[in-house]
Amino acid sequence: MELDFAIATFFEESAENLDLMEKALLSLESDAGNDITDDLNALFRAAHTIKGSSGMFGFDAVVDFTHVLENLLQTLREGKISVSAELITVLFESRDHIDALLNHYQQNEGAPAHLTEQTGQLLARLEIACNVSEAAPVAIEAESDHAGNPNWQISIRFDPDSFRDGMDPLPVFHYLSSLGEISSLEIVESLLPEPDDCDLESCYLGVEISLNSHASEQEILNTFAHLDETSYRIMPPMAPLSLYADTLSERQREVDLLDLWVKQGALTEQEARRLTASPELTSLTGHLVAESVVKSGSSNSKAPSKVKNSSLRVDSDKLDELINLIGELVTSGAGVALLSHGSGAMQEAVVNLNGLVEEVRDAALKLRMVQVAGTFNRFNRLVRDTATAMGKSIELVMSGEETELDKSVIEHINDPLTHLVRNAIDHGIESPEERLAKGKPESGILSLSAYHEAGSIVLEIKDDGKGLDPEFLRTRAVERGLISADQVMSRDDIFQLIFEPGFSTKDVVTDLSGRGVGMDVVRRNINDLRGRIEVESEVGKGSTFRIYMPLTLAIIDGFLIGVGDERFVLPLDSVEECVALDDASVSANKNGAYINLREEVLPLVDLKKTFDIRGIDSRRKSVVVIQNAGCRVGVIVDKLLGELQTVIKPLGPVFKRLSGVTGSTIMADGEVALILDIEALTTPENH
Amino acid sequence: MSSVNFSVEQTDGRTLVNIEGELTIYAMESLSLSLQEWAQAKGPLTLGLEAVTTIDGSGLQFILILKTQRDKNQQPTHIHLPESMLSKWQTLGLAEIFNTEEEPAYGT
Repeated sequence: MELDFAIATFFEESAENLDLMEKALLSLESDAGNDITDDLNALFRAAHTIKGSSGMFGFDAVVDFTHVLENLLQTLREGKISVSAELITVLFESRDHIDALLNHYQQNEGAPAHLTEQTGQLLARLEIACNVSEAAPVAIEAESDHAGNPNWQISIRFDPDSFRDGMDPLPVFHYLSSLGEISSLEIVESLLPEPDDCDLESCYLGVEISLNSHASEQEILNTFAHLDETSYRIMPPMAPLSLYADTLSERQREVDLLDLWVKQGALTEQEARRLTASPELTSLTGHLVAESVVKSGSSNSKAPSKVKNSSLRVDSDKLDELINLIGELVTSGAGVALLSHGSGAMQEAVVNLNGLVEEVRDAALKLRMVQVAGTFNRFNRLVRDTATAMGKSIELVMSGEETELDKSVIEHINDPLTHLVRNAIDHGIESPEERLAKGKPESGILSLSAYHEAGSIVLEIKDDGKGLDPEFLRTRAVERGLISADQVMSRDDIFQLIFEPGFSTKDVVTDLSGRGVGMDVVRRNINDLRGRIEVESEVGKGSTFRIYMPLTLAIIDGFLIGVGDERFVLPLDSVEECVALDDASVSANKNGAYINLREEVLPLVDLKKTFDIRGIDSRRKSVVVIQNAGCRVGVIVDKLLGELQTVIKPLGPVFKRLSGVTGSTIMADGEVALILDIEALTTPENH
Repeated sequence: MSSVNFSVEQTDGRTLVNIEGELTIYAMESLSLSLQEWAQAKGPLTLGLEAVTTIDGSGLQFILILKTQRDKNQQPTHIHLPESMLSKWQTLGLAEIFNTEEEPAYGT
């Protein structure tokens, strides 16, 4: 079970490292001619980590391939060869190949035989580019930024209260000796106090241990399970010098530490001199801590060293469970609040308790929110590759990457976005020649944005290409029998034709698009997520696609209204104003009821009729004016109950096709209120 | 409650400290008063621990503080561990710290 978890974690971390490699390669490409040290370091770190961890699980094909890639990267870092477009292409292909190898191991058992030929070809290209022997780079690496120490170097500083807390350091040493051979154990004497200035019940022990062991990093980490994370540092065999530099900088007052390492053979004198003479090694601290060890000689490869953790990987199902439990807690709290009426002290305690529960609920919900940056960043590579394949020059501009979406939405939005980005490149942005002929810059601009609007998240894909011609779209739709020649359609409706199955404006089918398959799937996927897509376009200037996604399972500020015996929540962002309803001012036509609001027609939605709600009509009704994407409607309500923070709980599949409702929320009294779907309410046909 | 006893002998400029019982945190309070005196003692000091049944981390630290200070004062210190403990500490790489192997046994 633990191994399954470790492998799953490995694949997740490898995917992240592959993303980092891709990002570094894109940056390397755009930084060509400038300082590329950071990009090369990032590339090397990611490849190195993948290699080290792959070895631990016996994924030899990945280890062998990445080893040669590392050689090339190391040669690049040393400036022995320079970056070229061809080299970057090889590096991109190598990154993709590692991805393919890892995918194989994730889905199959055994070696990836079908990838052998591709591996061989890429290895040959890497070695030609590297132009150095297979074995040499390891030595170079050891001389450059990795310590040559084949042992684990473990640095422990026990807490002053260790003895008093019943924590004895000796069993720690014993446990470590059971994992291998303690080649050397040195006491940090500079930490020991003078006899006349010490409390013998306080612990002043600091030790440096050199451990020759084939144990995994996890086994070694287990030794310290009961110690504070800050009390120990672990440098794996052949660890980057920066790890030593990191430890050294944290223990500046220990004047004898460097000498101890040299004495123990953890560092050579030359390496020690580099540590003291190269402050840049410490500047890499924090970036290199996740580097794994290099397999060397007879020692086994080891897992990456993660000395510092700034984040924790948690199964999303556990978060769902936590949120559901907190939802139950809120409901129970509301029940207790009702029972506490009449007892002042009890009531006060319950109010405090419920306040805390709400804070816990909010914090838990935020755990599920994921920045859209992770999704957006993937498009750097997609745009690069697609534009290159089509001979186009395209600059990708992103904004609002920090906007957060629920994890479940993020997971489902990637495919629709990919389709739209590909279409923008293929159909939208013109070739450089065409653009120059039109007086446009040679390079097209594709922008990806994310922002909040009226309780929704909007994802916008905008290009400055040729735009959509409504007349052409209409003609094509008539040709394909999608509409009749005399059908009257608004401009927006015509644009929506591109989402019809089988509709394509492209005469030539390419690998990317033009088959008329995809845009209908895009709309269907978005609709399935209770979202919608809008198109805005101008011939010659470009197109904008806006995806409006609901904030499923999120917190929004809501506005509570009462209709009959029921209560509903409107997203506060969509509420413009509330006005008293005078029955005499209501007019009606074939499209429904409306009122004149400051010389503007305001269509009305009567929830009581829409949802067939029972209950006594209020004598003083109100209209809540809501807006969405430029459409305004008035919702007739019996009571205005004010603002509240609302936790959206998604409705079950039974309600999937229920129009007008986007979710539910549990009220403080334990009752459930439905959250109204502003998009549905403001769509003209629903008025 | 302390479960340690110790005795001190001065012979020909040498100091012999014999400790018996458990050299653990429970003994530290009673040993702390003597630590300064033993650390400053002139001439060779032998710490006879053969009768010690248990040494924990605080006991190890006690020995280390004493020996480190005496090394600073350039006064020789000889530590005699029980045989059973010696082999354990050799495994841990601790024996080397106390130079136990180089030291002739007290009284020989």
